Formats: sequence, structure tokens, C-alpha cells
Amino acid sequence: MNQQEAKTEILARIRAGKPALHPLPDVPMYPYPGNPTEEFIRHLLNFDGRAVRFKNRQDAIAWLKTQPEMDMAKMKVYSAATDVEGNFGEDQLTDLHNAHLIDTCVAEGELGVGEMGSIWVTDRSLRHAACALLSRRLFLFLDSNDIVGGLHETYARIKLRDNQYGSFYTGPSATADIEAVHITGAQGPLSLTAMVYNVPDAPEPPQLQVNPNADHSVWQ
Amino acid sequence: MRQVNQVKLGEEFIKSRAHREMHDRCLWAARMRRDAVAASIPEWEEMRELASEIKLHTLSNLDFYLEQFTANAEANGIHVHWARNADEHNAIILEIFKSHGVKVVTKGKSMTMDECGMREFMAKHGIEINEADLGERIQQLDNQRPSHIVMPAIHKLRSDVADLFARKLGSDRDIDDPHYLNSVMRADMRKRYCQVDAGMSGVNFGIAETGGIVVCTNEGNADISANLPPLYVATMGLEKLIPRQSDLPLFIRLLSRSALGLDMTQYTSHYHHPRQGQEMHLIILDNGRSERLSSPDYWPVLKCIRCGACMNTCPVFRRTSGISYDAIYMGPIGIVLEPSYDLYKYARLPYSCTHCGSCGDVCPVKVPIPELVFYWRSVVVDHNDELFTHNAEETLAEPILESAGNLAKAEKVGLWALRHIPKSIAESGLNPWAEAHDDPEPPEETFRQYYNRVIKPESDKDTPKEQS
Ligand code: SF4
Repeated sequence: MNQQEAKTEILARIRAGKPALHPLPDVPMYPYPGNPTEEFIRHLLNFDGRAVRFKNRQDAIAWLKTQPEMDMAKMKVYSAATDVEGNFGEDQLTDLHNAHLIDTCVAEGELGVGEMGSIWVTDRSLRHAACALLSRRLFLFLDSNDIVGGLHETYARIKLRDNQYGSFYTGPSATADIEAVHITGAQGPLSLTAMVYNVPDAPEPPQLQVNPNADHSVWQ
Repeated sequence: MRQVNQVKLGEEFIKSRAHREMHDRCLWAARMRRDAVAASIPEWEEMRELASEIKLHTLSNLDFYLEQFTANAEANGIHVHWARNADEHNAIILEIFKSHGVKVVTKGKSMTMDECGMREFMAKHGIEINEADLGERIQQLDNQRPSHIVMPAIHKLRSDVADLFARKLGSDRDIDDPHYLNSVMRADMRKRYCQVDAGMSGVNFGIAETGGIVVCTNEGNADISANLPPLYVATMGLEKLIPRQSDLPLFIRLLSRSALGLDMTQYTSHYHHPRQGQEMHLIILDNGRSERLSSPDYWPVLKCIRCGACMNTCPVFRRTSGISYDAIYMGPIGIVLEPSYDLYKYARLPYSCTHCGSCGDVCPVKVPIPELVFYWRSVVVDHNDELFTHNAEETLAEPILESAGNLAKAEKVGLWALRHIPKSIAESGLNPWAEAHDDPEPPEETFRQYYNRVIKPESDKDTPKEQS
């Protein structure tokens, strides 16, 4: 099949038939009101995500180590974060399909979005997106200084083209495809926990914040 | 070929009260959530206007943006292909699959691939395509088309799904808890992800300036399909482009809020290069789009970003379900899109509309659906002889609607009937309308009488002649 011919023909048809040129408006940098970190947590909880605030990163790492999901005797842990050790190594990922064996994945969030509770992650921060997607529990670090209010400002900080894969993760994977019943843990992680550090007024000891109405499925 | 009769197919759906009520309730809830979330963004209406303008601009300069997009995507290492129609689209993908020895594929949702009948085509060539979105998978297992563009199985009750999964996936027929059904799906898909040779998905936006694509989903299935296997193939309708990265947040802010009333899709993913060791292919599909672009009255239809908001709000769609349109695209956008694919087959669809105008009010990019409905009706009327869309009711109504005088008489007869025909007859089984509706209290006079008495300026009080 001659692809060049198809391309030439399609473009010629468009040139011949397209309407008169419409002007291109500029998109304003609409801000999002409120304290970005508070808005971020509020929205993340709406999406059934979990959040913990810490004064600094060391506190976050210390808290993470106490979590049952990090129990190395029972769990397979993959970490893409530089200062957290896992027990599932790169050598086991020569075949990426093995990512489905991972119980817990730990990685770096690059930006947070107050407006939605989304966390920007890339192929760099996740190292293997497959691990973040196929693991059962996902833990993401997020520096509160990297939380932006609105989505327009967030995109202004990103160079999409520099990333092979970049995604806004907003809570754990979810579906509402059966009678619109909201269910978390569709195909990807069953839970997503944001560990937000550099929050000066973080409570001591750290408190896990969850949505009291979150879906807690009995089946998973 | 058979002409689709949405009224008749809709009647079948309406017969089951449980289905009808569940369907209406779920979609209306999405519409109400959309309203609440839209009201929380002060610039919402301004954003809709901007999004519309940006789409109009892009379409009016589409050749330029397609070339810019392609050059950038190719520089990013993406293989870009062009398909004039569905056959070419399918042939291109088959060739890619054959050269990679692909046998099993997982796929994220793509209306564009559905439009090409891609799955059925691949099945004929021995390639197994597994839908990875829960709703889409339900429909695939049931050999039925999606009934909604973002909630493909929303017309099914949980018991329908329990029955289907029991037959196809060996689950327990007696458990119809959606959580259980989701876990059955999850377990089945996880087995499949471990053996797939390629992943596929549709595309929500292509960014000309950066040469990348954006795919929005909630379940993460498209992301798994794209990030796991060594081959990733996506299809993009050529109208999906936006010019700049800075335009994207506007559309992302509108999309999921309009679709489901949620602030964001759980996975809003951007692909700009193949993974190391992976090959990434993108097929740009025309399939009638360039022709639509050249129609002065019709081209704004190409603004559509496939959010589904028009379906959630449509009173016809909510009661009759997407299945009754027997088409790839359904609901308001479906009734103005499908006739452009096959005028004869879908000639009746533009009549499945009450002119409430709600679709136009909620559309995030202001596709003028209500006007496009009239556009298609005029096309259908122009081809009336070949299309036979005149139905018995219209033929009966013709003498009444023909003259204003006859209509005025008919109104009076109607009022008389409302006053004098006893309820036992008016609300008997002869009148299925009465099942869910009470007759209104008869007013003192017809609207025409009221209008003539109270509103109408003195100067035109002579037409029509027959007045009381
Ligand atoms: S026509 Fe508008 S409301 Fe309907 S699916 Fe397209 S973008 Fe959404």
C-alpha cells in the first residue's frame, strides 16, 4: 500500500475543501484558588487516593518503612525512588511482564495539581511505568513545593516532548462501568498514597488521610 | 440494506422497566455532577467558547497542523501512517502485526477503531484482540456494540453482567455485586496482560507543536497496553489535533468534567516517543472526515472531542439507550454523524430528537448539534423519494398541519377531549403514554385563545380567520 499517496491525497482534499481561516485565540493562564497543598489533598481524597503530610522527606521515608505494604518478608517491593530500597530488582524486570508480581511500587511524583489532586509522573520518575501500573499498591513522594494550583500553570512547567511517557495519575485506577457503581482497583493499582513532604504544619505523628466514603471493596 | 428504526429498537429497551430506570438514573446523575462541577469553575463558559474557537481554527488550517504534527511525531521516533478509509486502516495494522508475529493484543477503548471494524477484521486473520476496558470488554463478550462512548455497557443491569461473566469467564452467576464482577474482570485481564504481543488504543488529542498524543482513561487499561508490550499501535481521527501544548489544559479541564462530572480522568497520559526497545505506530484516519470538512454547513461537527455529555443529557437517549441507534456513534452526536457514513441506513436517526437543545448547551466545544439535526433533516427531505422516511403518523397529521385554520380547529377538539373523555378510556391500555403520565388538568382555553386574548398585538388579530 502506498502511504505517501494516501497522505498526499488526504492533504490535497483538505486544502481544497477547508473553510476560511478562523483566528487562534490565546488561552489565559486561569489560576485555581486556594492553598495548593490543601486543594491537592482534598481532590485526591475525592478520587479515593490517600495522603500523608510530613515535615520533611526523612519523616516520609521513616513512615513508609513502617507500613505493612513494605514488609519485605511478605511483599515484593519495587522502588524507583533513590533513597528507598526494595527487594524486586532490575534483573527481574528484563521481562517487563514480571511487573505483575509486584505488590508495592514506590516512586517519585514530579508535580502535584491542586485543582484535581493529580500527580505528574514520567518514564524518568517511574523508571518503568509498567511497575506503577501493574503493582497492587502505589506510593508516590511529592514535595509540597512542587504542588501547583491550576492545570494551566502545571502544563507551563512541563516540557511534554522531553518525556517518552508522562501522565497525571489521579487516585487509584477506577471504573464505574457497571450500573455506574464506583469501584477502585479496576486494572491498575488498588490504592495510591501520596506522601507529601516539606509541609511545615504537618501533624506529629503523621496521619494517614483517607476519604471516609472511599470504596473498600470486599473482593480485593 | 436495512434502514435503522431507532423508534422501534428504543421501544424494546423501554419495555424493561428495570433497565430503563437504571439507565436514566445513571446518566442523569452524570449530567447533574457535570452541572455541579461546571458551576465550581467561574470561567467555565469562557472555556467552552475558547475550546470551540481553537477547534474551529485548527480545522480551518488542518493541512498545516497535520503536517506539523507528523513531522514532529516522526522526529520523536513514532511511525506515522495515513489511511483514507477503514480498509486501508485495517490493512496497515495487519501488516504491522504480521511483521512482528503478533497473535494476542490488549486494547484500550477507541471509537475510531470501532468505526473501522478493526477487531472483527483482525479476528478473521487469526489475531485475538482483547478489549481491556471493563465496559468495552463486557460488550465484546456479549457480541454487542458499545451503547455509550464513555460507558459502553451502561444499558446493562448488574445481573446481565453476572450472567454474561458466568457464561464467558466462569464466574458465580448468583453474585451480581459489581465489585465482584470487576474483580473477575481484573483477574482475567491480568492473565492476558502477561502474554500480549502488542497494545492498542485510541487517541483523545494530538498536539501538533510537540508531535505527541494524549490518551485519557480511568481504569489504566490503555496505559498498561501501551507500557507493557514491545509494540504499541494507536489510531487517531485526523480531527483530533490541537495546535499547542498550552491549549491542552483547556481541553483536559473540560473533558472529564463534561463526560462524568469528575475533575479528571484517573490516567491522563501523554506519549511522545516509543519506549526503549519498543516500536510505536500511529495511524491517522480520514474515513470521510476530509469530506465533512468541505461542507459549509456541516464541518463544525468535527469539533467533537467525544466526551459523551450530549448523551447523558438527551431525553431520547436516556430512555432508549445507545443500543437502539444500532450505530457506532449514538445519541445526539450519533444522529448527526451517522447519516454522513450511510445516508440511507441512518436517514431516520435525525428524527430521534425532541429539539430540547440540551445537547448544544452542555457540549464542551459547542458543537451545534441542534442545528445539525435540521441540516440532516433537510438533506433527508431532499432525498425523500429514495429514503422513504415519511411515516404513517406524519401522513395522518398532514391535513391538520397544512393550514393554520385546521390546526386551530384541532386544538379545540383536543381541549374538548381532555375535558370530556373519561379517565377510564383516556388512561386505558390503549394509551401507553398514560402508563407513566397523568393527563394534565384541562385549561380554561386553548393556548391560541389565550394568546389572542392576552398577548397578541391588536394589529395582527385577523389571521388566522377561524377564531372563537
Ligand atoms: S458533541 Fe459535544 S457533548 Fe457530544 S460527545 Fe462531542 S464533544 Fe461531547
